[in-house]
Amino acid sequence: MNGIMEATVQSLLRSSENLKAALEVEVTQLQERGDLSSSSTDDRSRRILAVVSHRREYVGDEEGRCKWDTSGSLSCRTDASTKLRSFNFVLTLRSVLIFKRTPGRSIEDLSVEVAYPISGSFSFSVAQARRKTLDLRASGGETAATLGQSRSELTLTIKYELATETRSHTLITRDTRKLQSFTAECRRLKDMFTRHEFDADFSWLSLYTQESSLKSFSSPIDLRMVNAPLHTRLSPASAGLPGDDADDISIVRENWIYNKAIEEAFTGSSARLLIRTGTFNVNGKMPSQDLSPWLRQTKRNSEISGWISPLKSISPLDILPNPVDEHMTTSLGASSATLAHASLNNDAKVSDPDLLVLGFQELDLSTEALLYATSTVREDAWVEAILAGLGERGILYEKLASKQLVGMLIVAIAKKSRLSCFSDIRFSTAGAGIMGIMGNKGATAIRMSYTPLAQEISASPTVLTFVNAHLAAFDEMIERRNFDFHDLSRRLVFDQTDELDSNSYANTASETSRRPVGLFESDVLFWMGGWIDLADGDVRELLTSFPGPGNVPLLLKYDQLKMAIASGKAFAEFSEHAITHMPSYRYASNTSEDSLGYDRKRKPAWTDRILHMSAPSVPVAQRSYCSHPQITLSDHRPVSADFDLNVSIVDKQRREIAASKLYRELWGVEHSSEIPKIKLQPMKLDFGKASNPTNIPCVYRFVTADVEQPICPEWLKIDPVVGLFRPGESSTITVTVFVDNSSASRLNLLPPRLDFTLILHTALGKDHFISVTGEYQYTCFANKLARLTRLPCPVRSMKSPNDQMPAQQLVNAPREIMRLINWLMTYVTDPSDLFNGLIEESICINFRECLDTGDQFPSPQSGEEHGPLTTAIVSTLVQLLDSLVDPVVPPYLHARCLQMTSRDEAFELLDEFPPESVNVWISLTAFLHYMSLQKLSSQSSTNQAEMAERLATVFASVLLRDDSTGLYIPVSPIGKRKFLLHFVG
Amino acid sequence: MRSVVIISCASLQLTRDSLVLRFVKDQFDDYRESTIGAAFLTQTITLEDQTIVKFEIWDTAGQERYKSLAPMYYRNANCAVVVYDITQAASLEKAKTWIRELQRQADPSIVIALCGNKLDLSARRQVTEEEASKYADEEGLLWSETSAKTGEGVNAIFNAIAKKLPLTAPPSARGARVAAPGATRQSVDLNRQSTAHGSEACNC
Repeated sequence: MNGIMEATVQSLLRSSENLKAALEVEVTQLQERGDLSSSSTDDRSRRILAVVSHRREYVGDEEGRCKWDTSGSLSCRTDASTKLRSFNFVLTLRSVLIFKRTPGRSIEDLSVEVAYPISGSFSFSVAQARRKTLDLRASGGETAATLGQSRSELTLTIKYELATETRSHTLITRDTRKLQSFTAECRRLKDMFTRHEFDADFSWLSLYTQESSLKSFSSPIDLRMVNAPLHTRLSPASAGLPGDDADDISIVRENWIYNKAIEEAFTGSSARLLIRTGTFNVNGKMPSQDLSPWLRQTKRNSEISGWISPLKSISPLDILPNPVDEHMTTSLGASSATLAHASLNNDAKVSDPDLLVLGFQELDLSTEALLYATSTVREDAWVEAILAGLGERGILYEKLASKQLVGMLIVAIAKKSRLSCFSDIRFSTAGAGIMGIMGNKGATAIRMSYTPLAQEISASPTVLTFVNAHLAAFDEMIERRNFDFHDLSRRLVFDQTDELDSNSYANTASETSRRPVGLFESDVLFWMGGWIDLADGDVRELLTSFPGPGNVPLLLKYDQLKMAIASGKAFAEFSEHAITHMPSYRYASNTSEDSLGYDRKRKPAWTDRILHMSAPSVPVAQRSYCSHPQITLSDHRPVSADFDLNVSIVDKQRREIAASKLYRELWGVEHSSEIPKIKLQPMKLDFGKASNPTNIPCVYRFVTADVEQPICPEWLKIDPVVGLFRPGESSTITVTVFVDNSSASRLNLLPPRLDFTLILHTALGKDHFISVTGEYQYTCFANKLARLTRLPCPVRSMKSPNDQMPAQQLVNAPREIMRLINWLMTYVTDPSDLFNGLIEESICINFRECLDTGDQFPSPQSGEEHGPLTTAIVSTLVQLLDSLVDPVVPPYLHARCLQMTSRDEAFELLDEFPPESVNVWISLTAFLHYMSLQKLSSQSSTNQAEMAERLATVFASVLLRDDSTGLYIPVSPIGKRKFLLHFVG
Repeated sequence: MRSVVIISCASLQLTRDSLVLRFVKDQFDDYRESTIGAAFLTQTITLEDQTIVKFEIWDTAGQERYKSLAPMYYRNANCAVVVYDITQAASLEKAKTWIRELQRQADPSIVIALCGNKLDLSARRQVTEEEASKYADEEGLLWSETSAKTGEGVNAIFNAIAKKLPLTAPPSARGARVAAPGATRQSVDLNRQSTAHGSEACNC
């Protein structure tokens, strides 16, 4: 066992440190505290005392001639190129595994409790154990056995003088032989220290003592930080100005250790947690209706509520968005209705949620409520109504927690069988009303730890936070509302209850674990509440004339919350599922209602929303998002959202052990005398691998050449931008050329040669230059219409981007667009072909290539199916139009277009179009008109008017594409279609 | 303590790496891969008058291909060491191009040193001492010959640079773009006396 002990201790040390002596001891002080359970006393008081020496190498050559060290102090003695410095430290046995008495493993899980340098301030003494004292200190029956064998027990007292106090530890050991070698070693080292009086540099020691400063796992990292790309957290750096490398190293290292430790402690299994959240502004009403639709999952809420299923109208012609665009649009909530519908269909297999968290607003509108917010009558009534609303399932649930602040109430109800999984429940409230304290607006929040049930191990908890907020209403209060959001998210803090990790009984009862935790220090954060009105656009008209969830995503373009998220003004890091339900506010209860039941005096709005954000380690899938029009007691309709959390089961103990091991391994990079180096494989475009051939860990990051510039041009993507290697490791950095419409529009105007030098900086080391070269192939996509009309030849044959024909020779409309239209006019006889069949990307690529090179299009062979070619051509046409730098109809004319009431008026407006647009517009509308007049095949159910409408739907959104600069307010998509129909219908 | 940034802009595949390496680590490695990039090293020396000078050295390649990046490294430098290879006449020509660029683009207070390396191979010399020192005189540069392989002259040239640099330390070694502190316009006379011996100036 002792041999194992020494080997284990040595394995905890870095290669520069050596174990000189080790000794098993017991601590006596702890018994005095009497705060330990007797069963564990024996294991818990065990310590290992170790004398460790540090070998610091100085750079010197064989003759013993000294060189400067980096700190500039010339303290090296000439008789040796290395010297020894030593001290001891005490190690704690920490693992619960000890209790299982698996000695082989128990000893591995050591961690440093305290470390003292063996310097002038260090002293020790040995004495016979004073049995009487021990008797008094030790507890109960066990002591008798201990005493029986304690004939050779000795106490060792270690003292260390600090500037202000003297620390002392009294330890008991039975191993006299090892004690002797321990004391001999201490004495020798102390002598050495006093004799030479060199300015001992014990900085290396901080590795072992600072370990506890490693960000513990006690509280999750701020979600905003954890979701931000790592490189955005590093110091600004550029070529020649490396920034704060030491600081960057520690950021990268902490991040790396955090993730790696989780990875190493992952048990391979995960737990599913179903959460149903709801928000309901009850307008001061008491529960008078069955709440079950809101609380219980029903299949296809949309059908019950009477909405028509979304049309699959334009799906065959949906433009394939590039990945970036798609990401953007989903976060704007404008993803297509068909997608949203598909995800709702997953609800078919419903299961009861494990946790229900419901937020109420305007629970109590009485003025007294503002002054005496003490009564829980209403809260009780609603909780009762909730349990009743769960119906026969109600008996499975129990209230977990609730918190009320005047009109705002948040209630958490959990399945009884899962109650034990939720712990450490905390609350917070913050008023945003008058003076910030009156509580008519504000938020209440609940934070809880969810610990999945796991066998044998204790799993690390996942922190869930739920906020129920009620923010300022009405359009004109947007700014106020955004302010309230930031204010509340700052003020909603949770006091740490004194729930210390039962293992950290040592004097490290750190302040950090008692500090209040912020809202974002969660793994998953849900924000429920009511606050948002529509900003612009005549929502009512649009809703009335085109009912059905299919149009909802389009209307949401005007939504203030979406705008706030998109502009980063508020809720920037939150995500919201696409809304497919009708506005939840404001329903009229009397005669003033419109045909949809909304109050005529107020714009219908999605005021009740549920947003969430989560750490990358906790995947959250949203299963539903809907309103419940059946519940009519308030002027709002309740909204619910189902979430499915996939919580990885991570062994808490192993995670912490792994973290300290990794920390030890990676510590001190910034103090090493060795220069970090990486080896890069040949600097090709996709330059496979980088490896670390040195003995020290290395942190690398890409830096920019100049602070004002990005790390790489927009047509390059690097992954990862920041990283860490351990010695001998290698990793692959992928550099991808990525050209989308926006970068293509610029590249089309530049010389074809692409040339860029990436700078890969190794922290505290070298900047590597990696050159990326290539040739850009010009494309007719992503240009201005005016430029296309002046191209002298197919775009690919151009030698320079400046080749263009003189103004008097320009073509009427871009050849590329005309070629596509001509093909369609020649070969398409049945307009329903335009929509049939899947888009085959390979055919589209071929067509695009033909447009760029000027090659002939493939023409359909006789007897061959036209379908795939036709669909591909239409798709190419739509993509080409959509890629134009400016839409065919400039955004400044959109509002005018919508005002046109007749065909003649619409034609007159063409005079104001830019000349190149007019020709394109006329050719396209002529084509669409021609198509709509074609005879439809007999089996088709659509009539000609419907066909025209269908064509117009697809093309209107492209021809009158919304302005991306934000200069012009987007106009109604239905209005756009109407305008186009003047020409097509 | 003064903090100084030095860049050595070498041309061709010289053993310029080892020049810095010799200075900082007192090592020489014949087989070091040629660098594409810029290495960062630090070194501290104590002058005879006990002044301590800390060098922060960016060692960057002089390849034509990466020329556009060089200004990023010398823009903050107080001193630039341009290294040529005494066995390659063309390398001096390249060094001259670099010196012209530095005189034109770099901070006016920058101290420029011209350094002929590979003194250990003087049998194959193509650049005479006279030629190089005459050019350095005309341009007002520090000049010396070194051997990274043997270490000859290496510490001497860094010592000479340390003496030559303005006493006022830049506000912050890195980060701040050197704004010609106090415009201590150095009279750029050659400081060859101290370097002539090529002896180890740094006994400790």
